[in-house]
Amino acid sequence: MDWQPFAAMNLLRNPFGELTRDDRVRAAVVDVADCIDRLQQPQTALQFIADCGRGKTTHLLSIAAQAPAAAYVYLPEDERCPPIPHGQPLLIDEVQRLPWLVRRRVFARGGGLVLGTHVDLAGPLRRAGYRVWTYHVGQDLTAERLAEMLNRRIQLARLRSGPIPQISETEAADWMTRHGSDIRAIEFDLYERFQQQIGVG
Amino acid sequence: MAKCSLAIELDEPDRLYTSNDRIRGTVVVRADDDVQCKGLKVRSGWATHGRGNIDSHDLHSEVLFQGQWRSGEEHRYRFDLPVSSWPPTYHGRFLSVDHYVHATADIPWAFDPKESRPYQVVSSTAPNAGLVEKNTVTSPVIGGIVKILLVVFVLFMLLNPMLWIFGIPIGIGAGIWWFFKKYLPKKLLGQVEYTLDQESFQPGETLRATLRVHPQKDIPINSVIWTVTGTEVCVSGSGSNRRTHRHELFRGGKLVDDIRTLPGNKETRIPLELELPNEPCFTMNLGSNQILWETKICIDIPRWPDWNDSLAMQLAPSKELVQAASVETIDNGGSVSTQPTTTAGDEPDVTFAATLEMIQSVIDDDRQVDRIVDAVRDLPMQLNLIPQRRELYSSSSKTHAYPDGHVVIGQTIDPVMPVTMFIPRSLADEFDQATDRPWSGEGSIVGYDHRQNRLQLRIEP
Repeated sequence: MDWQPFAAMNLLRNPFGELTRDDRVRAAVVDVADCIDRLQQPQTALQFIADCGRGKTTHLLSIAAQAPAAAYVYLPEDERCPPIPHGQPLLIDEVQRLPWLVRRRVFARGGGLVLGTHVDLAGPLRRAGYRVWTYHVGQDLTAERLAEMLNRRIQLARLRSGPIPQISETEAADWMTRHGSDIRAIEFDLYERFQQQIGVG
Repeated sequence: MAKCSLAIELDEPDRLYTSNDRIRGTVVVRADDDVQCKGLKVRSGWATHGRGNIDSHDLHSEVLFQGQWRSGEEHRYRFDLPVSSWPPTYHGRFLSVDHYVHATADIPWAFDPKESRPYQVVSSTAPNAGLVEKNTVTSPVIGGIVKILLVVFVLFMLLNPMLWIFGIPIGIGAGIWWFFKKYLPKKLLGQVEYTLDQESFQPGETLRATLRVHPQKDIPINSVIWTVTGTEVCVSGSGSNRRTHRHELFRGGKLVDDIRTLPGNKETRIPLELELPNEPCFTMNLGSNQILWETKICIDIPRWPDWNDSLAMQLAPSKELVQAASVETIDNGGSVSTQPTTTAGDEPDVTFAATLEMIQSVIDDDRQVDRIVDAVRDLPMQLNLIPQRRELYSSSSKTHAYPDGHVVIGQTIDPVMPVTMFIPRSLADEFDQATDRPWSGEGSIVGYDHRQNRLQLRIEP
């Protein structure tokens, strides 16, 4: 297995590249048990508010992975609104892009809603009869949690049993000083760091 | 917590695989608890990793086992999967392509254990992907359709005065661009033709291109700048998160500054040559992840808009590269496989004894036995047997037996396994005389009789 560029680090690949949706859920360090409980109640809406790269989508995908009847839809920028599926709960990523009329129809459907958004939609949700729970993603990020997130990604790229690189809490704190709670920016930098370690970068 | 763990052991983990190869190995399952497995699935395929969204393709998958594993048990399941010859294994800065054997155990109401093992693939040919589509667009039929659509569009715009509000500024902008970028340079230079000698090149090969210019009068120029680039282009995310990552793998070219004037009424031919890098960074188009090779040419005209053109090219693998890579693998020795890579058309070296051992290791699993038998069916082998007695034809024998031959019951020598031999009439006497004595000769495995638990062999005349 010496031909593998990351074999010397006991890794299959650079751990900070893009992940599949499944792997993203596996790597997620989020506790969504509370969210799942709240969604058992009727007319409940959860909204995850944050800037890009803070973990909104990761939260939504983690909830979707635990709810067999869930439906997830991502609303792309500058493209036509895709058909909104039916699901319990219905998870909509970047919901602020939903056209007003479609949003009204979706909110009028009832059922559980989980929204990833850049803007607070508590008002329209309440007017549609929803009980709203708002989570500000990334605000509670600590060096300990960041280190756990990054180490879980490294763990996912493990080649075989044995030691693998680890990110310490001190290093995680350094990254937070540089990028704040922007986990995506931290992962981009770490990608480059790992590439440099194998001499490609 | 998973109730069992998976491990994949490849028979030749460091071998270079190529087209028509098969990857063989064993999935080892260790159960920590009693586990009901809905399916132990194994699949071969490739996946990208790096900065771009994951592109992947599964070539083949099959279920190795369904049933129960008891706590503390270890089970081994053989697999034999086809290898995809394209894309080849590649490790770059933003893009990496690896081929994997993936194993997954579907455990109800539990976390499904997964395991992946990469293996290395070299390619001798590439699909015609990534080439510039400019050449195809210039075909007369498509060109005609494009022109008709353009005329219809213009008429539609003209007949709808409301659309003039949008059409006029767009038209003016496009017109200015065309006038400065296309019309003016061409007006000055006349007929200009930029061609590559071929569309597909191999690493280390010399790329040859030609620029032909036929102006109507003497045209002064500063230089001709020719650039050749190979770039990794990876797209990550989508929508507002969409980002394109580019990494230049190679940049080369030529600056022709010894020609200061293009003479009028005469064709000037400028030959261009460049040695391509010897790296296997082939043209690839895998969706969000690409390696693109492009050539650009610019005639720098003083105080006038420059003339530009570009052509895509394909960097493709060669058979020699595959052979060289195979030899290198053998030369490395040590932990590296000493088994040469089989080339297309060559059969791997399968011995009768090794096949018997494999069958014996899975003798309780009919499906596994059939899989092994299917894999080696009709392969000529050197057989070592002990014939015991002649038998009358039974209905189960008819498929494989010689029309005028005989059926002989016997056993193999090492390991011992009961066999049914279908022998041609010409060897009947030889087998009668060899009863209970070792017999060697050529033949092949043709089936397995599960009712009598006998391996079926066809002996060659």
